[in-house]
This record gives sequence, structure tokens and C-alpha cells, in this order.
Amino acid sequence: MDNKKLAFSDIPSDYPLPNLYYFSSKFLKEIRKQLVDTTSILNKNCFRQCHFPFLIPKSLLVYYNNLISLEDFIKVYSGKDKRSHAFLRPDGIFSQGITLAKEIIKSYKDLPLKLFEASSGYKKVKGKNKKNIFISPEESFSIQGGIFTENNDDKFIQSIISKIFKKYAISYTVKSDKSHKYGLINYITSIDGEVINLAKIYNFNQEVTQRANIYFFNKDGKRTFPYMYTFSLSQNIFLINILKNGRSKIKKNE
Amino acid sequence: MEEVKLRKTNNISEEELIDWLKFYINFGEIVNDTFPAKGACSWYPYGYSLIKKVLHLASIILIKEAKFKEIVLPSFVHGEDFMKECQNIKDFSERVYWSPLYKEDDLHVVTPTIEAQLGALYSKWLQENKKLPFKYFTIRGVGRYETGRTIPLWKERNVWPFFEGLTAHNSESDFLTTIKQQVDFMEIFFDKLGIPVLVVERPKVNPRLNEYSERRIEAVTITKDKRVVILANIYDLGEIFSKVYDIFYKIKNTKHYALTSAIGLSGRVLATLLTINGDKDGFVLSPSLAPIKLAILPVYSRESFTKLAKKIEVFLNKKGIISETFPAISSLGKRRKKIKAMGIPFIVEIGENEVRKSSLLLKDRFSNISVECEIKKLPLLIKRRSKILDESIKEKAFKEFKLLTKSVKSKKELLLNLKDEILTESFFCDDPNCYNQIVKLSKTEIIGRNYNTKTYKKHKCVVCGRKASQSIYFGIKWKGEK
Repeated sequence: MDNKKLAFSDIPSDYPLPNLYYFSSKFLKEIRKQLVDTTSILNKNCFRQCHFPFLIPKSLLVYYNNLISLEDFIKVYSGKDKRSHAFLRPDGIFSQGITLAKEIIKSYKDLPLKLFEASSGYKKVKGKNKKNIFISPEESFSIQGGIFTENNDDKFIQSIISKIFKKYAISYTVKSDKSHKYGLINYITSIDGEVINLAKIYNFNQEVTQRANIYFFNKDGKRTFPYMYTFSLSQNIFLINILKNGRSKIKKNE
Repeated sequence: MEEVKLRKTNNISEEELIDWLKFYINFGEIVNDTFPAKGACSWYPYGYSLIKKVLHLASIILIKEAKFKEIVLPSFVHGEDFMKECQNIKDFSERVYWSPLYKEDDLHVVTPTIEAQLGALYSKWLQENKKLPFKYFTIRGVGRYETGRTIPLWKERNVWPFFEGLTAHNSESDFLTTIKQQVDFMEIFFDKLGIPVLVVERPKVNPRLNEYSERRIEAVTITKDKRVVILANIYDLGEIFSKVYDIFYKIKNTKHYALTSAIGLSGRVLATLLTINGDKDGFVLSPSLAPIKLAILPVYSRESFTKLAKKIEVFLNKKGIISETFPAISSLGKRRKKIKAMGIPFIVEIGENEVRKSSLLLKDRFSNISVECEIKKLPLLIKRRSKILDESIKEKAFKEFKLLTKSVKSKKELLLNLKDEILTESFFCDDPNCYNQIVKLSKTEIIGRNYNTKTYKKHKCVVCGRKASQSIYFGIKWKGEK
């Protein structure tokens, strides 16, 4: 699957930098509508939207243990003389959401805490087929969510993702990686024989909240660490949907 | 974090106001600045809903009034493209974030402004025969490596939101019309938000201005600490950037550079709004802007109280009045304090009486007035009171602004007002010696020429007595403001 179909749809267009795209106003109108639909599904299920910075300090990288290797983070330097450096976040809700959850969660009555963010993530891309928007480029847009709960149950997130896919009538396959440390569940589809990522769920149990010292007092007044799950919905969902509807629909909306 | 109360007197120092803002911006759940990176904040859901409303308002006005279109741009610009922009802004390359995005020896920049990005794109579009004018804006985060003190929403390294537009034109009349539309945008936007502003044009007394733009038009206001804040800028870039980025069109094989202008504002708009309307207990939000209109407080954790609170919440939300129950997790006093800090316009408390009588006392944050009302009549009462509160909050802000700004006709009056740090306007001729003399004597700064008035024509220069050709504002800017 190359970008010919996307070019035909007159949507995300080549930016004068390799592997990056800008979203034209036409495309933006389309994506906004889908975002409204998606966020309303999330809002109805008590998710609340927040926003996180794109810069992360080295101290937060520790939470990505086993998820992303250090060399895949995009480094930034301040000034050309490389005086100090930071990293661009690969996602928002995970490491940065932890810092906000720590401020919010005090009591069992603050749970479940459901946060989400719609924004860009950044990471190094390996492989030949870089010029394909469906394979996450260095900067990609996604909706990322996190749930902090008293109970260990990730079925809730799975049901939300199913609702979103149902809304867009996207056919998908669920692949659970039982051997993954954080119980990765992958939602994929296939276009022209190429596997396209749609969504991911991670179950961090209490490991990350324990490490970040996020705790609450339960009904018996006992200090307890909440369970934490995260999900991400790839921009591919929106792109597939727009491709499906084609140019005519976009023209109609102009 | 130590609680910071804003004194009621008018003599609030800049430091006191910053401390107040920093405390309530966290406690009032706008942003969390304990994020472990300097100059970067996380937005609480409440703060995010609020800023989203502000940005939505700005977007629809800019689209309607100035016919802009929105675009989403990537976060990077190539180092070479960025360095072209640096030709016109001294030391800019030292104040950004560089990244070896693809290769260690091929640096990119986390975009700090829109000019380099859209400049390169506009040039490409013209080569592809797209037709001028181009009028695009984007809302995103930008990176600025601030070495000094950072203040949430005010001066940040990770600036979000950053609302910027760039236009390109092939006719001067279209260009000037667009500048006028952008000024209209600023006036309408700030009026709707309830922030009183002055539109000023900076005389070229600042060498930085000379290197960057032909003209700079700004919307400024003054806060309780008598400091002038720049809220939005319009840059008349003339051909400066089109020459740098090769934004040109051809008529009969002759190359013409496009005229360009830029407009920008940031989260500082929200910080200022919160500051001008705030009081000793925190923020005061207009009901039309508040993400939560009504806070419902069960006085303590009794099932019947919580049940009624939830019932009212569901009832009002169905009627389109966003309400939220604040359950008895903490003491009533603590919750009242929190709700006040957040600036939620209305509050009802649920106790024995409310459960028994099915009526409530609706109290508002701004005037502290309580009105008794049956539950079923609550939506109508809130809608009616909201209109009154919207107007009253705006009226108060404009009244206070009037006290902090003056227009005077003599040098003596001008210097007296400037001694009191009042943002003061007076009449001047074209001779820089005249207005620079006031700067020296008063130890204030030139804020700008009054953009909208022509009344100076009837007056004489307050320094030399010659015919006035402009009216100029003087005042003291926030620390670090250029």
C-alpha cells in the first residue's frame, strides 16, 4: 500500500520534509468529524480529555522499560551547541499521564480515573518502507487513553475499542500477546496484503503505579496501588475511513 | 504548595500576582506545573475544556472575519529552512530545540514559529500553480528554549497552545484588507472573551522590530499589578519573508514577491483572563465560558444527599447545563475552596433541608448572591442568571481597565499618571526626541501608537508644542516582555 490512494484523495499531503505530512484543511474537516465521534464515545464512558507537553525529561524514560528502547526516542538539544537535551514523547498518556494521575488520585472515590489525549507522538522509524503513512512515521497522531482502577479488568477498554471500530465499520483482528510483559493486545487490519496497526492495549497491573508511587486509600483506609491500563488508537483508523469514503465525500464537505 | 491570597488593595506587585497565578492555576485544575521538565505543563481535563473553548472561539472568528483556513503542520522544520528565518531574528537559533531526527549530521528544529514551515509550503504551492492569496492558521505546540524564569501559560519552553496564522498576497489592497480583518479579529475575540484591550502599533524604536517586520500591531491589556501584557500580535512582514522563502508569483515573466503577514496568540490569553477576573479565592469564570456551570455539593457522605446530587446532575446535563457533583471525599470547607478556586459560576449544596423540601439555594461565584429555587425550575434560573453574570463580569473587567488607563493632554498629567504606573496615552509629533524624553523622565516604556484613533489631529505634541501626528501609550510591561 503506497500513498497513491492518499494522494488521489487529496488528503494528507507531502510536506517539504521526508516522511512527514501536513493535514490540509479539507482533510482536517474530515478528521475533526471523526474525532468528535470518537471523543463523544469516550466522554460517554467517562473519559476526560487532557493535554501533555511534547518534551519529556530523561527521568520519565524509566517508565518505558521493556516498551521502547532508548535509541528509538527522538532526542532534542537546546541551541546548536547541544547545551542540554530532552526527548520527544513517544506517546502522551503513558509517562506523562502518570504525573497527572499522581496529582488527582487520593481516594478510592477518585477511581476509576479515565484520561485521554488526542495528539502527536514521536519515535524513530526503522525499515525500508518509510514513505508509507500507515507505518507510523516519526511523528504520528493518535488518541491515547489511560485507566486507573481498583480492579484488574481490561475488558472495559476492549469494549470501548470495539464500539469505536463498530462506529467506523472497520474489520479487524485481535492478537493477544500472552508472552508480553504487559499483556499487549494488538488490533490490526490488512490493506492490499499489508498489515496495518489500528490500536493497542497494555495492562500494566500495579507495576507502573507502584514504581511511580501513585496510591489511594481504599474503603478500609488501606494504602493501595491502582491498576493501570493504556490504549492507543492509531491515526490509521481515520485514514482508512477517509480512504474508504473517497474523494467524493470530502468534496461534498468542502 | 502554599496557598497564596490576593490582597484586595490595588497595590499588588508583579511577584504577588505571579505567585497567585501559579498557585491557583494548579489548585484550580487548569494546568499542573509539577511536570518534571522546566517550562512544560500538563493540562487537567478542566483546564483543557476551558482552553478548548477559547481556541474554538478564536478559530471561528478568524475563519469568519478574516477567511482563514485551518491546517495541521508537523512539529519539525528542516534546519536549513529555519536558518533562513534566523537571518531576520538575532540569536533565534540559540533559542530553539534542534533534533537529529533522521541523521546525526542533518539537524531539524522543533518548530518555534509558523513562518519557516508555511513559508516553505507557500513557495512549493506557488510553484505548483496554486493561486494566491493563502490564509492559513494552525493550533499546536511549539518549542522555545527559554533560559530565564518560566511561568505556566506565560513564558514556557513547551508552548501550548500556540495559535498562529500566515498570509500571502499578490495585491497590496488585499494585503491591507487582511491586516484590517486580523485587527477586527483581535477586537471581536477579546471582547467576546471579556478582556478589555487596546490595539496599538509599535513605532520602530526597538531594533529587534526593524529586523523582523515592517510593522507590528498588538492587542495589549493591563493587569491588576499595573503591568502591560501583549496578548496577540499581527506582523506586517512585507516582502521580508517572501524574499527569504522565495514566495513569488510571475506576471508576464516578471517575478513579484508576495506580501505576507502573520498573526499569533498563545495560552497567555487564558492566563490573563483568569488574572483580570480573579479574586482572593481564585478564578471567576463567565458562565458562557465555564466548562462546568454548576457544582453540586452533598454536605456530607449520606446516601440520600449523594442520590439527590446525582439526580440533579443528570437532570441539568440533559438540559445542556454542564454540572458536576463533588462527592464528600474531603470536608465541605475544602470542597467549597476548590470550587471557588476553579471559578465554577454556580454552586448548590445538598443537605437535610434540600432533600426534605425539594428546593435549593443557588449561589453564584461572582456576586455571592443566593436565590432559592425549586429543582425543576433550576435550568431556567441558571440560564437567566448566566446572562446577568456574563455581563456583570465583563462590566467589572472593563471598569477596572478604565481605572488603569488614561488619556491626557499635557506633559505634567502624563508624567503624574506614569508615576502611578497607569497605562497612559498622550499626543506627540514625529520627533523621537519628544517621546524618548518621556521614557527617560518616567522610566516607563513606549507601548505603542493608538491604532484606532485619529483624535491626535486636533492636538499638539505635549513635549514640543508642534502639531501632533500620533497618540502614544506609555506603561510598564511584564518582566521579560519584549
